Amino acid sequence: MNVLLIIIIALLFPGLINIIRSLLSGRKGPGLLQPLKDMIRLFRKGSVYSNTTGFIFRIAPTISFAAIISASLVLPIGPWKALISFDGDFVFFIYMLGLGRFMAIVAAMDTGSSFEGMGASREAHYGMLAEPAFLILFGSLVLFTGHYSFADIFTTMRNGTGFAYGIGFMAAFLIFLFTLVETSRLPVDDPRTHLELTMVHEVMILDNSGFDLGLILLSNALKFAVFGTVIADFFLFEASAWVAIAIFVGIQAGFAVLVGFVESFMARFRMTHNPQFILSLTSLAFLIFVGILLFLEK
Amino acid sequence: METILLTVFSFTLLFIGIANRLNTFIRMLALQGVLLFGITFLKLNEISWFNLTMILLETIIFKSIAIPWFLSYILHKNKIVRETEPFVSYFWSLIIITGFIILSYIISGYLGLDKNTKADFTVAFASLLTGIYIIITRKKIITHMMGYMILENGVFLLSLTIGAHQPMLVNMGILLDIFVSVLVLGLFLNRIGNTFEEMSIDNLSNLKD
Amino acid sequence: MLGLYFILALVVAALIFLVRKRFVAYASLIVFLAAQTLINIYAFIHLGERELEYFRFDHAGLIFLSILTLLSYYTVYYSFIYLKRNQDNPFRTSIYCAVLIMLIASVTGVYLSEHAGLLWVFVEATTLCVSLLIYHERNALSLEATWKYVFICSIGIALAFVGIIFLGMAVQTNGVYDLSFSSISAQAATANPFWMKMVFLFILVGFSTKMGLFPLQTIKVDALTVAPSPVGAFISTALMNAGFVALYRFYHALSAADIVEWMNNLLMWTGMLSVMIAAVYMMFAGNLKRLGAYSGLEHVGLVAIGLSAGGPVLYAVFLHLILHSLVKSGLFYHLGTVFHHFRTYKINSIKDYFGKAPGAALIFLMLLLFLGGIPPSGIFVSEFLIFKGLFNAGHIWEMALLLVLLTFIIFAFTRNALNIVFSEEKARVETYGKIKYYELLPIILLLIAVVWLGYFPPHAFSVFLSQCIM
Repeated sequence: MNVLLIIIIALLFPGLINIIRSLLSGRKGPGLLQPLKDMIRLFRKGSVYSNTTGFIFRIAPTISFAAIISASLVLPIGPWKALISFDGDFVFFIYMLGLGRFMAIVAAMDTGSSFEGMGASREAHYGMLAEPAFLILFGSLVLFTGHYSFADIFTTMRNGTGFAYGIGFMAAFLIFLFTLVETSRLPVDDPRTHLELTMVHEVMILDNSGFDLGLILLSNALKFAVFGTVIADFFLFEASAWVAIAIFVGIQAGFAVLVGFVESFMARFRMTHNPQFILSLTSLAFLIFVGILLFLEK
Repeated sequence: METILLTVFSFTLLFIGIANRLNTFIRMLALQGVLLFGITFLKLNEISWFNLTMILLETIIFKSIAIPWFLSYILHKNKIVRETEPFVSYFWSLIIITGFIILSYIISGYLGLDKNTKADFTVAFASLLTGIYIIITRKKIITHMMGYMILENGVFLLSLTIGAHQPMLVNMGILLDIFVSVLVLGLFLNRIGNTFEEMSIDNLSNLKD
Repeated sequence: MLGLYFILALVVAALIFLVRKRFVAYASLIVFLAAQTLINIYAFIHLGERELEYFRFDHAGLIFLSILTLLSYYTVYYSFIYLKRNQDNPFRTSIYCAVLIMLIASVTGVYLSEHAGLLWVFVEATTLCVSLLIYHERNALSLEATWKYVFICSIGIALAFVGIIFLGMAVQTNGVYDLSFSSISAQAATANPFWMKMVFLFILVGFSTKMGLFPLQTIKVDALTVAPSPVGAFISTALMNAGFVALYRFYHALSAADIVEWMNNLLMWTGMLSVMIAAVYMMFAGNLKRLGAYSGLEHVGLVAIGLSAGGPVLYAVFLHLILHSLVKSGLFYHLGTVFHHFRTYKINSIKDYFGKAPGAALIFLMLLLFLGGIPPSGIFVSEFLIFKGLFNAGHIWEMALLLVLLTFIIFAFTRNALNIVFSEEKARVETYGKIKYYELLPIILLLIAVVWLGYFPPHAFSVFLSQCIM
């Protein structure tokens, strides 16, 4: 049930962001299902592989897609438990996402193009700076709640004190910024430009085509949905199925709208500022950690 | 409530570490003044209302209004260029300031304080270290003054922890603030602006052997 | 009585500031000197008592107060000479005189203060006064020195304030909120030692700006380079003593806690580093005033090392400070004469002093040699006692290193002194003003006092000094 919800949201999500962006620029924008139609069109085409690529280039998009799907298996949503749940599954989560990123980097380097190599190195750099944020954040949540898996963490946080809700808000804010970094959105990377100076993610997928490109687009959309689920989990409470679904969809929609707003109103950071911005996420995570430590010294 | 104010205060410290423009600095100082006003109000409920009002007025008027206004006036009058010029890049500043916060937390562990005081001490001591760090790593004189203001905010926050029983100390801290600001900002920054073309410490290196 | 004294100081200073006539300024200065002498005598009469609840006339404060009174006489005398020679406009003269009065009153407050917070307020007041005095000549160089002085002193003062807050926090745990030194001593034994260590660290760093000790010593050197000579004499002696008294009060109060060894280690480190820096810079000093300033750095380093050795060495430390005050102030007063004669402070530009003015040259030579600690200077006695104390306490390596460093320092002194006094003229060196006898005679008195107090101290003086160690 969880995975179904996530996939549905993933198919509709990027469309919502595009609509918001267009509306804010005064245009009418493509329809809500446009990205879905793009993906279906791409799935029907065949892929073209260049001579300089090896087998990694062929298997990478599939592996990253699989990684995202398996990462989404450990997430609970409201009343539904996660499909797989064990102690330390948040580490599994972030490492699956890391695996996806790693395959993308390696595939980009496999093409032998220095242009894509540049994108790969930037992606690696940002990933290195951003991942500690997530781990420290969830580590402090583990410290706070005393449980080691997503399901238990969220359950405890939902029933907690006012401080828990405050932490929940800050964590949601941090995850929001983290999403912007992970999915290469503004203000870290502009998905619309194709200028060498400013590309990070787009440049890595220049050589992909057809089915692979469709898979990559779907993976990106899934990443959004997965992070949206994590944010929504901070606020969902035990309720009947339909209410839970409604709140979940609402939070995801709000998430998409917010991303659209941020994209429309902020310019991309100067390239040298990006590492600072991403590092500041880690610093914020440290702050939350120290805050929780202070709170726990009873 | 107090914890939230303290957390936002540490956010401002981090933000100052990566601030590029001088105007951002000044706005962060004003924000810190407002946060300190809130924290003071929450902490010093036990002293006489007259003392409390005096301290509150001094805090809000001085830290949030007078000093930022005066700093922007000097920026304007001396036509100082907008950028802060650091010796250390912003990236490392961020790491180092985060390190300061963690260091303050570790030090507060040795001191055997109770829970509320520990949070205050951590943020205040981190502010102290950040202020000194900013003074050391920037070239412009005006950013030295701003770093000093951050130092002062840290000292003020420290003095609030015992302010409930000794309001005299809090008043002395504010006296220091006013004295330094009036003397330094009012008299000397103007003179330096008039005497030297550019207000950076490259011009102030003539006294040596 | 003490309250009257402070009010009088304020009133007289305001009077000078508002009525900007030279005659009024000079007359008010003399009135203030009379008040200073009176308060000194009053303090001796009421030895050991508390006054106004926050002040105490104890031995250490009193001995330095007497030195301060003597120095204020000399400073005012030489200020008259300086102001007359410089022909400044009345506004600047009145500011000079008014601020000088406030400075002397603040330093008195520092010596006599019993409450930690009040001590801090008076030290802050001295910063304000000194910065206005340094800025007297109003050129770019003095602006730079004044800015650095004000800014770094403010940082130091803020750090010292943090130390006082920590102190308040530490003693608060016992439910006592009094910050006077006697109550701190009583509480220190039961407080958390880590707290006390932090307190002392911050106080040391904060007051090192005033004393001119290692962490923040550069501002004092810069300040002495640009200040007018009588003010420089006052800064390098009375203000340094004030910083020392402040530090000593905290040291003594905190020694009831179990951290004496840590404090001594810290003091030893800062003292050794100060002497090292002084030795290095003195070899390359090009300016007479900077030479004097670095010598001050060396002496205060010696004082810190002596303080760290503890025990009977404290007698030598106090004696050293007193003698140093006399000689150093004499040097700076005389530097005003040198400037008047040669119009420069650069060592390379001053030659054949002996040929131009034999009496003054001899005095200059004696001053520099006495500062270096060569007999018959009394400083030789106090340094010898400090070394003896170090040997007894077991710090052999430090003593050896110190002796080597002092050799360098004495070398720097004598080389510069002999170059100035006895060298042949390479080029014709211009001389400007004529040196009068009345600027030299008081310094001779100072030199005689140094020899007398070092070698034939009156019995009452020795007894009084040994009671300072409490």
